[in-house]
Amino acid sequence: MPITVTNLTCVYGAGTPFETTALRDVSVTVENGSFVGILGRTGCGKSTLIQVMAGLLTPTAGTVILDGQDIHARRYDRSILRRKVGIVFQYPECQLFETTVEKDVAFGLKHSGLSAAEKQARVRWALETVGFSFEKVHDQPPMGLSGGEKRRVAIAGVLATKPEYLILDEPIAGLDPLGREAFLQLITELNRGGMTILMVSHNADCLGAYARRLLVLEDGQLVRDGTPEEIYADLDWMRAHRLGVPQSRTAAALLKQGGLDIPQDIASYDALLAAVLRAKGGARP
Amino acid sequence: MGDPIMIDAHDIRFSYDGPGGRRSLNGAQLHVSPGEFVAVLGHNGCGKSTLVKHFNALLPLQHGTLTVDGMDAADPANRWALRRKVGMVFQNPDNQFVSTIVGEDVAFGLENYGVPEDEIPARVAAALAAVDMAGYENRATHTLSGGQKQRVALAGVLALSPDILVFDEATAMLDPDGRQEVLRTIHRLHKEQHKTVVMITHYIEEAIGADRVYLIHNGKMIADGTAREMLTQPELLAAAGLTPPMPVQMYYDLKQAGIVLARCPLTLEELAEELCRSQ
Repeated sequence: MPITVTNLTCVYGAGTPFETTALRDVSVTVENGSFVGILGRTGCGKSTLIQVMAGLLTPTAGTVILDGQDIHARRYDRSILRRKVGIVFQYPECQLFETTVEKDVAFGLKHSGLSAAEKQARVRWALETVGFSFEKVHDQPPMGLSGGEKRRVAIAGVLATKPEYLILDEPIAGLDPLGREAFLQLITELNRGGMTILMVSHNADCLGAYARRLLVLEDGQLVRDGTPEEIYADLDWMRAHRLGVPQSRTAAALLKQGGLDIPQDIASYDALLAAVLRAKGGARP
Repeated sequence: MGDPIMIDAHDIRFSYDGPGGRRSLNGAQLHVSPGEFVAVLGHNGCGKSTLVKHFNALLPLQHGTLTVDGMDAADPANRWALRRKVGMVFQNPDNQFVSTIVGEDVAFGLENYGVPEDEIPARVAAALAAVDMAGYENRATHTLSGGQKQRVALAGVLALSPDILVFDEATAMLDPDGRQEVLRTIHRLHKEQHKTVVMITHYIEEAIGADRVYLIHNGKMIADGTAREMLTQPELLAAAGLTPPMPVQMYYDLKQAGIVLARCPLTLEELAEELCRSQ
């Protein structure tokens, strides 16, 4: 079942001089098994949207329907929501608090009703999924790990609860290029396994290469909804809205200006490389 | 003596667990000439932040030698002079504010150094103007965008007129717009005010405009040279746990497919030029 957001409006500090409308009448349906990216400038409402979708914030108006049930309804059993939807905040390494990696990852399973053996199997699975050897890390203090490792432990803690939907807020900010690539590969694997991914990022390059659908927010409104190719094709629009144009898309525009036959709906490096090879193929001796 | 040297770091070793513990720096060195723009590139956890924290004595020297504009960093008597000589801007803009008002925040360092009160407003105004934030004195810091916050943090550093500016991943938390704002400001200060700049980053594109690039891995420099020399060698970058700039990657991928460009492009403009010329 999808998550359906209808006419969502969110106002902070209503009735005070600091009243701000963070979301205005946003409606969107996120299909099961999809990989959706949310793009937008700082302050556009991205984080508010995912926090409302994860049931952490109550909207001023509008509904979020998960598996046919309104998650903000008074009588809704929130434990269903917490099991189904996992959320990874920005700088998730700041969420670590336990004395060992194993305890930290297992924390979310405390009231799951699983036996000790089942819990340990889950923790092992989650740690291995994010690329650790359970034996090597399980008894280490999480604070002693490197930044990238901490982030993976924090994500293992969310995965351990086996969510159907994984919401990530700027998960790659601050990671170096190889760490970023490895992380996005991991998310892609989880998505292939059936997990629905909703990922907020400033990084149009990464979203273009990995997400299959993009939502663009501006000033609390959903201003674009389509594939990365469709959205990036309109370069003038991307620039006018100061969204940060992916390098591959900028290159495609420069190449076309220079007279090469390169399509303009380029959203990833791989697509650009393929297009250049096609364009140059004929000219090769 | 040879060329004048602004920062001369030699065989620096450092462990956060104290001597004998796991080493974050393992014989790092760095030489920066006055007015030079140096980028230090490395992956997360390679020791690059640890290294620059020695330059203004935020971290004590455990091993090796370090002089900054002739001052020995091992001598505790130089600590305050070093902090005045080297201004540092860190990753998270919110962690650097001490006041909720822009003007007061920029004035904080000046007040601490006992600058006469009647001089402060002019120096605050000049520092804000230098980062394109003139007239923001009375704004609340929380109403600024990320790029604006970083520029205010930079103004607070500039107000003390340091000769050396160190940026420790200063753009990592910003959106693309904010990153561009901050980068433009850094380059302008380097050109117009002749500041010596040391920029730490893992965004490889940010190193393209540097005079000299150092690659650091496991607490040690593995290579240094011009941006073009350093960034067009994928194996070397891989050894530092980094990936090449996109045009360089494309150059090598095309080469593998039998398309050989006359030279390896570093920027998107150069890539377009090479590809369109050889039609």
